[in-house]
Amino acid sequence: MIIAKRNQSHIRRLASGSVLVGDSGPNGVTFPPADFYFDSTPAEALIGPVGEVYTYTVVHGANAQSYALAMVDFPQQVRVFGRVTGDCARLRIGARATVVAVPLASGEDDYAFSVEEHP
Amino acid sequence: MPEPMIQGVGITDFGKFPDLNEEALAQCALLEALTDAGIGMAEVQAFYCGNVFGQMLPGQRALRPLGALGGAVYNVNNACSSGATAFNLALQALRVGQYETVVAFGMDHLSARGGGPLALNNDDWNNSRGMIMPALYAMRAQRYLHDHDMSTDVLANVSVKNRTHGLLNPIAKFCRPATREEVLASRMVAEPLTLLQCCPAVVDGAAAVVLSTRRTKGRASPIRVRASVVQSGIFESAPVDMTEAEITARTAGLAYEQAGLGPENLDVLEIHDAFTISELLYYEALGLCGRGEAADLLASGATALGGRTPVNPSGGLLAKGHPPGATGVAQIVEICEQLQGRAGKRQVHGARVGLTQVTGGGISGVDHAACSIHILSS
Repeated sequence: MIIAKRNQSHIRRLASGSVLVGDSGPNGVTFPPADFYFDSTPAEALIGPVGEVYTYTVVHGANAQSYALAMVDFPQQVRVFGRVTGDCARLRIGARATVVAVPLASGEDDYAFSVEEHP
Repeated sequence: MPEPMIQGVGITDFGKFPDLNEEALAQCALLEALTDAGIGMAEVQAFYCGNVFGQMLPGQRALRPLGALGGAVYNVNNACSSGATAFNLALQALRVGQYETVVAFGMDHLSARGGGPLALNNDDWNNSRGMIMPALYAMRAQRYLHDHDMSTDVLANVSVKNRTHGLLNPIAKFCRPATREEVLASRMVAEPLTLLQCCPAVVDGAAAVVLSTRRTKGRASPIRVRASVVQSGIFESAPVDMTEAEITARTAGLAYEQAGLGPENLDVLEIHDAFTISELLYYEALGLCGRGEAADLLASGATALGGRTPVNPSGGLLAKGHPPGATGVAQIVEICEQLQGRAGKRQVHGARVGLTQVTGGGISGVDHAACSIHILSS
């Protein structure tokens, strides 16, 4: 059996906005994508760029800066967990959440969600 | 083959003991359980140890000075379900005749870790993006309150009830009373969960039970194990109802079937109230009430001491704390003492059937990675 490590990014910047890149297999779309593949590579599934907040919280550390988290449901029938970036005033259940790319120090992109109003 | 029964139990105080270590706590619980069962260390053929944060060979380290004779030690790490999973494995070994007398025990010493939420696997997808256990349950709470149009008062009421119970439990050293207003006014941890809605983060403790197919000369009558079920979480990527507590409902269904009993037969429960919302979700998952009815059940007083089906008479995790390796065994110790009529001021009068439920989580996609349910009877 061949074991292949996934080497594609889990986020892609498109002209229409950033989308998440998951797997598309017999059980539907999954995210995050698998770290390793065996024998065959599943088709990729593009998720986003817009979903709806299923639930959320804001974490308040005793000695750390607060940060917001959300579970976001996408039309591709997948739920994704992530940080919420920027102004969280609109963060509530049912809010429109947009995938945004967050550059890491390594030069790669990670993702977060924005609930700010976009034109 | 004779039925395996619980012949003795032991438990330490649950509190902050920075001058002790987990081995000392486990030894205390083990010796107490052996005395309670009326047997010596030489009669124990195997040990099943639940432990989460103790690194390598925790069971052997705990047993080293106690004169164990070299029988098998099985170390089990199944997150917060570790102790209950150890008990399940011990029971299976007796049921197939592998051993006659074994001990299941669990311990953790969180003082050694400092403080803060339980450490999770930092390589995990969600955890590396800020997930902590209070946040996961806070998101469940947020959705539950939204779906059922409830205020945070209902969450706080769970904390008030269990702290009231905990004040009657001499081992709950960390427990302090709190009003609903004080619970809601305590420091916000993860909205909407405040500090007094989360089990204390730094609590040490250990618990042990002796299981045997022999009848020993113990202090109290032996306890039957009517059901013992361990399940694992199913990977979920598609949108699901996060307020459903699917693994607990599934495990409970199997346990009720194994016991030939249902939720209507339960006199007392110890359940995994690591956060206030947990207890409400588990009322529903265990069938104590229908979906969305947990707040009404709590408000009716049915789950308080003196009510129809008291839940967490020990004070639960909210009042006692949650050394995760110990918790599952500690719940079994509490139910045994309730069924034996030796629970002191927190005694549920006439209790004959009890249930324990503990989950374990902390990895993405499988929010509840483990669940263990035991049904015991006198």
